[in-house]
Amino acid sequence: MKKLESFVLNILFLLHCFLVMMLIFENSVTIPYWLQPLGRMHPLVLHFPIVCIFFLVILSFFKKRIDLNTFKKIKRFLVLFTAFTTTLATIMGLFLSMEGDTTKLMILHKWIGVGISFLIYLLIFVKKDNVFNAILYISFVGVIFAGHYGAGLTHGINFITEPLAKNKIVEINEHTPIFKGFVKPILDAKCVSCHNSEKQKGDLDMSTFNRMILGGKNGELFIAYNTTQSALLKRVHLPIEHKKHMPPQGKKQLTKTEIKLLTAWIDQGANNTVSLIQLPKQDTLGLIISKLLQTKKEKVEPEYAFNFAKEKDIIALQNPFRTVIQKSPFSPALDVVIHGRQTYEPEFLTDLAIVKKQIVSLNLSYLPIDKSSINFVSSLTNLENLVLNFTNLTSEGLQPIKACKKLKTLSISGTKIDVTISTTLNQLPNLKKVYLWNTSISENDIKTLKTQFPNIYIETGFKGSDEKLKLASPILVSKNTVISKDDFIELGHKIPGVEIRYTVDGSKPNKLSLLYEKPIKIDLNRNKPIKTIAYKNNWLPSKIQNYSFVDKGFTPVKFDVVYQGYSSAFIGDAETILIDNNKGKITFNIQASPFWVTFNKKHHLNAIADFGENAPDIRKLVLSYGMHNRQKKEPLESFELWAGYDKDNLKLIKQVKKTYRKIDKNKEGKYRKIEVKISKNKYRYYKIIAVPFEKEALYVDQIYFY
Amino acid sequence: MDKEFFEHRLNINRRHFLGKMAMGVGGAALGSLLIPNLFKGSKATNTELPLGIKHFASKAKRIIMLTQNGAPSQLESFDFKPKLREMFGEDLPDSIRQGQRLTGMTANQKSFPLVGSKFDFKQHGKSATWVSDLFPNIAKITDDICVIKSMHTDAINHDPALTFLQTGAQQGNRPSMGSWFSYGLGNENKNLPAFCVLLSKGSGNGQGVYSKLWSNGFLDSTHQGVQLSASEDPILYLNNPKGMDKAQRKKMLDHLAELNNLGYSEFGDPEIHSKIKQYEMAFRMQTAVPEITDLSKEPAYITEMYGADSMIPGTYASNCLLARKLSESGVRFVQLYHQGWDQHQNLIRDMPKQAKDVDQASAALITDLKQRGLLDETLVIWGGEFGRTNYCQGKLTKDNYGRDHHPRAFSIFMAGGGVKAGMSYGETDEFGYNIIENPVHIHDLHATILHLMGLDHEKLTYKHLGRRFRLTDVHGHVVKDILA
Repeated sequence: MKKLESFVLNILFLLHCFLVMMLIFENSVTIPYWLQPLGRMHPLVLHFPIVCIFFLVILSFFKKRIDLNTFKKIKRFLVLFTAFTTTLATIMGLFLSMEGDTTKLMILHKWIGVGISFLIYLLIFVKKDNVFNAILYISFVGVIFAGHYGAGLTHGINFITEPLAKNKIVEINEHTPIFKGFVKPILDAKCVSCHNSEKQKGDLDMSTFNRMILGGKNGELFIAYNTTQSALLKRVHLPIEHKKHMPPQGKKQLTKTEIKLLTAWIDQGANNTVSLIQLPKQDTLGLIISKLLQTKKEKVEPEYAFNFAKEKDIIALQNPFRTVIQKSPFSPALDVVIHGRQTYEPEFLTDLAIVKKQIVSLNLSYLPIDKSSINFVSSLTNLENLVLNFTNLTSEGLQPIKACKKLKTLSISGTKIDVTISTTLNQLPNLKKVYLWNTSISENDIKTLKTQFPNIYIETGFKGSDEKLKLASPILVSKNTVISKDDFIELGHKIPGVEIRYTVDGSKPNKLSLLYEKPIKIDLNRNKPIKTIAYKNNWLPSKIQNYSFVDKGFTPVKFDVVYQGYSSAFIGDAETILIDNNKGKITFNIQASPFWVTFNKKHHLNAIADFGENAPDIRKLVLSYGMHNRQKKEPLESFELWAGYDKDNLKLIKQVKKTYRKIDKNKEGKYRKIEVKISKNKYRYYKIIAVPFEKEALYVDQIYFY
Repeated sequence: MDKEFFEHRLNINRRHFLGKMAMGVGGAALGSLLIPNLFKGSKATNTELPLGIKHFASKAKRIIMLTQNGAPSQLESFDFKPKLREMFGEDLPDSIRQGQRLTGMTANQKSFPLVGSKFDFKQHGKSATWVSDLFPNIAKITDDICVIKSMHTDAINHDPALTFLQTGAQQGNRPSMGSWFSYGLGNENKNLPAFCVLLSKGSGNGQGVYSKLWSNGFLDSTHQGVQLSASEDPILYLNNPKGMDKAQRKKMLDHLAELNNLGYSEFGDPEIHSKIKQYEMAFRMQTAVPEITDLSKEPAYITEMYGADSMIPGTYASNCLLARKLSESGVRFVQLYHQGWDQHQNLIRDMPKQAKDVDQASAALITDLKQRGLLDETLVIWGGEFGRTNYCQGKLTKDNYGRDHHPRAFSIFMAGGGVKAGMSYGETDEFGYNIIENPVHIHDLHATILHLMGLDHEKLTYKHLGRRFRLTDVHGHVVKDILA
């Protein structure tokens, strides 16, 4: 006996440790399938602890009538047995719960059960009688609750009271009276708490229709067909601060839809029997109700009769040009797309034979598919959605797909099909939508098709507009606007068949101006922009676009800059940017533009241009700089030009000092420059120093040497 | 004697204790057998669903997001408020403002004169959706779109609000929406990135768009958005260098892959494998991308649909056209940004220009998808990061006004991909200031977009810094009312 007792005690300890472990790691535990029958035996085993605990309670009342020794032996045995079966039942229950039930009822049942298990285990170690009894009685109460909730889980919470309840919950549908199904619930939620048979504010009782029509101390609550005089609506429409506004400020207000519904209900006659089915089709109330009914219906995933494809098959079918995707983890349906006109091979399609049954959606747009491919498609018996846009298919070629009886949507836009497609459509009983845009089917034939298939939605898409559109302006294909006199200028337009006309003398171009045929050269000294315009039949002419060109002059062999500028995304590029023959455009983000270099007083412009041994005859230097949108005053404080034949021995040939003054950008322009004339010396080196004012930044885009 | 007894008892206790402990440990060990991966440290649990496959079947497969950067005014586009016209110049009542914060640009303004739309509104289509005259083409497709007039957001300035719209958080460093879809659903076309970005700019006041908006955040770098530029090389460094042909390139990559495989067998770093994969994909992209980005081969009626600008690279119209081509080719998420909607001043001058930039092409994109039968599986989203105030910023005159930032209410629209067509959802008060019905928060929008793509926003997670992150953080409700 002693041995058995210690064995049971050990087992109990072990089981409780196991139980604690299970509870802590509840979320990460998965119960293997072979253990699940153990869990399902919970409803069987739990009867032991219920009876045992009940018996222990009975026993506690008979202590004095039984010989003390016998009593103790019985009690000890019973306690151990109870503890063992309770723990067992609890662990089994826990297993069962992990199969996925997470309702509130479940959680309540679980924790009471676990609590009982530990309390009974505690009983083994309690020596004092009164403590023992206290714990026992608590456990007993627990058992009653756990038992009740448990029964609720298996039989439903209203199992016991069910025969007593007369009112069953009825599904709301188009046959339910609108008052009962839609109006009453609104009133119940927002009005009845103050206007019921017990509490009748304003002598109004809204708990039933019959009491409601009696009205309150202010008369009738509503007048049928009269939405403007009905007190109910009047009160609702009062401003919320108004004393008589209902529901009162602070209480839950009616929503717009609810007000609409109540208004429509009164407008319809405010009776309590009419249902949706009895209303005419376009009735306002009917529309509101059918909308509400629609939102109530939850969407469910479509179910398919076929089995899941093998996972390894799906994986094996993936390649760079073919994607096979299962619709969801719970759906066996497959979605297949094949990409790439140039890389397509017929095997990409025929390989799919192993998942033939499962393919419900297939997209072969733009592919060079042939007869055998279409024959394969026709073997996909469960296909619902087929996209064949811009393939070479004809009506005849498409015929085999009549075997896809489950087809719901068919996209054949941009194919060569004609009106004879109707013979194929005729044999597809489930077809809902067909896309026929950009085919050779005439408008009349479309009309015939539409009357022939009234249940199929036929989309024909965009058919061109009567409205004339404005062309975009010609573009400068040779991008540079800083060019030399030998460079060609190339214009272009992205729309084929466009006529480009231009002028070089500054006059407005028109239909009779020069026609652009091939790249042109212009005289840079005339300093006039090229003005361009585009024409095309059935289009409005474009806006006139001007392109101005600047002579790029001489480019130094070597160009060094001391300070690379500051606060630019392109720091370090000053040596390129300043002589790259790209004119900068002033934008909001001029400081981050790759065409401008930003200098300040400390990091000012200090550059040396080296023209090599055979230096050209440079007669003019131009420093081009710009003003940021935010700059209002002249940014350049001083400018110096040094020149010479020896890098270390240059002489100052020009110095400019500017005053810090306000500049009217509209008159003087935001693109600014300094020009320095140089006498004929053929210097090799030129040193340029330009310093901005203390508070200003100097943005330089280019230095020109002419 | 006593001492021996004591020791005896002590021994029993020790033995007893050790025995018990063994039992306890045994019990715990037994339990641990039921915890898979307890010692493997794997992050997968039974609550997580596999990647690359939808959580549940849904219609939408791809998304095109037309972000109108700078925040277009809802009061001049979709949210018609005649009351504001009646109350021209009157001060915004405190009972409407309710002490809500304003930006630094108007907080110090002495008065907040209300101003209604200078542009007329009409109801269009069977759905009788209100659209302003600035968007004549979008007005033609109202029966295909769902306008949400009750959007609201947390941020009041452009950068945080745009970051919030794109990533679900106001600070940077979180993955962009497109990256989440790339991570959750993978590529549909393995020759193209799953997430592409296209930028364009209107003439209006331009607010910055930064690459952090299409960052992969803490997700693998393969999920980063790929920006297509408007130059001849839409994807930088994709073309072969001068003097190298396709065969040579292939040979070079094969040898490089061999070397990389050697490296992998030595170090076992999985990043090496993804590098090899990326090289291979880039090689395939060399054929796939020019096929798509070459707009010159598009037929003339396409130009007519999208407008004359559609043939000029870098415009919104050409980006819309490109977006359709990318999406049609299986790019999971195409993100457009059109800058210049920030009409603080001169709204009457600038907003029509902006609207003209986007109206025709946005509508054409939806029509184009529809006529190819692709609108059902492509979700198009159009909208900015917040709305604009119902009062004038700066001086109000009869024919000029501006509007400040307003995060409390704004309008967007969605089309296709399982969204109810021909619907207006949510409502603002007659001042267009507060939402009075069916508010939709940015988190709700994200949850709904994920839902439309077949993903549960609570289950698409990524473990980073010790916790599981979601696009919707700990918020978001699916707006069931707008699901078709």
